[in-house]
Amino acid sequence: MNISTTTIESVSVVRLEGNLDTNTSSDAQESLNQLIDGGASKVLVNFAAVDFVSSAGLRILLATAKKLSGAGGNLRISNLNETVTEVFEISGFSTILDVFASEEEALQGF
Amino acid sequence: MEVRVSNRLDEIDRVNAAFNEFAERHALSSKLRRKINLVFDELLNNIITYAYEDEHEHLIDVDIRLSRAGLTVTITDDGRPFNPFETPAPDTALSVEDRPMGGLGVHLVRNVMDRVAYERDGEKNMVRLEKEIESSHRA
Repeated sequence: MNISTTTIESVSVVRLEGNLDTNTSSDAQESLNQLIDGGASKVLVNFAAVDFVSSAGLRILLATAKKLSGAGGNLRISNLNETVTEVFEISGFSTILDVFASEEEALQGF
Repeated sequence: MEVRVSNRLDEIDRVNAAFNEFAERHALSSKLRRKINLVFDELLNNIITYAYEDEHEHLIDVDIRLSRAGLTVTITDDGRPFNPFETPAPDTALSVEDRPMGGLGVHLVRNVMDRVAYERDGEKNMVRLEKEIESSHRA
């Protein structure tokens, strides 16, 4: 998967491209850890170019959320497609993570 | 559609690529395709990670049938007896801090498919999954 990161007004915006699954999740985890270890406390992960997410992906998002909240930071998620939204709902992740329809909405008040 | 793969995690992509082609040929919607991709990732990951106690190569058979009523996916492996559906469901009401890390994969599979079944047939584990095709599943 492709991972691109940019900073918008103190928020680290991570745009993922591809699937967040068994084979790609550890790379994504590594990139996110590097960001946080480098000082990022507000992280937004944009899923506009993500086709599907499996439990491996959910696990790294949970680990990232825990790592950030432990450091006084916060994780936001945006642009989930219909199936990923359903996966978040089934797993209960839509209530434990901050999910927004768009990047613009997620950045507001972050 | 039938595909046979080895017990390596990187083979999951091969199953999904084959299924995606099948889905396109039969005009299945992205919504349905993604759900099946998810199911393959979860169940094949489980089998490859937990079903074998040796270091040898093992083969896993994936069979997909499409009828007017729906899609039937069968995954057969020759690993130790292992029923993925005996895993208890996670507590989805727990907060970020209280959540344990495991248990989600099979919970997702049960919820995106309409019927799931496991059978031990001789030396093989067989998992059969069914999904009814609604009009929204046709592209």
